Amino acid sequence: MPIYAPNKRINPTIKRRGHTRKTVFASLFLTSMVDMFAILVIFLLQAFSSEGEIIVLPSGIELPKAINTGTLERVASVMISKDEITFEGKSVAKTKDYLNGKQEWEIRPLQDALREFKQNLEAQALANREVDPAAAMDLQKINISADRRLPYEIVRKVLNNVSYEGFPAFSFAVFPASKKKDATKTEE
Amino acid sequence: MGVDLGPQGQGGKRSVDAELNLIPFIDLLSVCILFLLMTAVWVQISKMSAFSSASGNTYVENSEVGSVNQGREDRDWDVLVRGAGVEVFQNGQRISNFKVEEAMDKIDSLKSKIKIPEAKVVLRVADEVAFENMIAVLDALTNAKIVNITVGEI
Repeated sequence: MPIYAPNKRINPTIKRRGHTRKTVFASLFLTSMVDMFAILVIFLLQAFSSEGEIIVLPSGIELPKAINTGTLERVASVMISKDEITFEGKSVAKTKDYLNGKQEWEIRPLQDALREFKQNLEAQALANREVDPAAAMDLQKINISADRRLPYEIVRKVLNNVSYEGFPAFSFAVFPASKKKDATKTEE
Repeated sequence: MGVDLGPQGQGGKRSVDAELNLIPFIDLLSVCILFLLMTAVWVQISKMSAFSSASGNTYVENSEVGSVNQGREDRDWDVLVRGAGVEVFQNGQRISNFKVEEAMDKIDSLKSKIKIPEAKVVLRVADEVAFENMIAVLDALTNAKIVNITVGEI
């Protein structure tokens, strides 16, 4: 089969009329367009999650990777970045103030925020007459998202504060990794 | 605007072809795409669970990694994570030490020494250890089907 040099025209659907000016209209291939739309809809439907976005990660937090993970639940959330500690989206303390090598673990502003949140939750549960054990257990859960490069010191201090304020069941937010060795890979 | 999807029936037979209105069809697809794009979650975040203590009320005074002088009846393993690596103690005796990168394989090979899944494991981490290394060890313990993991208890 002979090979021909391609035409100068990029898209054959954009036709030139003799020596007149180039037309501004292009014909649309409806079949291709509907196919493309259908593929997009199928792809997006597959990626759709009814849970929605449980945690919105601020910049400055890079989560660690892990293989054996579970589904994150919608409970209270503490985030620890290089710069600050936030609870439910509100900044409560500066990280560097507590990265001091000391054993004292109390982060008073975090404790205050946790206590207030817990009291509100308990009041709501009481008002709704919630006696469901699962709902009661939810009062003790908390999500902790910390930057993977942070020293454990600051995570320990936050853990101590959240358990002191009555949240003993915590979940660390992680990125799911494949079964390869990359989950245990340290800083390159 | 409509599109005929083929010839109509022949010989008096009723046609099985339907006429499709392309404009509402494309509108519907566009709305679907917009909705799905706006509600899509592009970053998948999962969790690793642990507890601070069995009672749920006590808190940790400190999690400084010290030596384990004697066996503790309230736990099957003490897993200590230091900057130099990981040590696993059972009844006060060190049964293994390895690097964080080897945690997955080593803990998997040690799991026959305890009853899975009811075994209680206490994970203690030194302050200077990077958080991702702590998660790597927690991941290895979870991989060995250990579910009762307490973090930071002395």
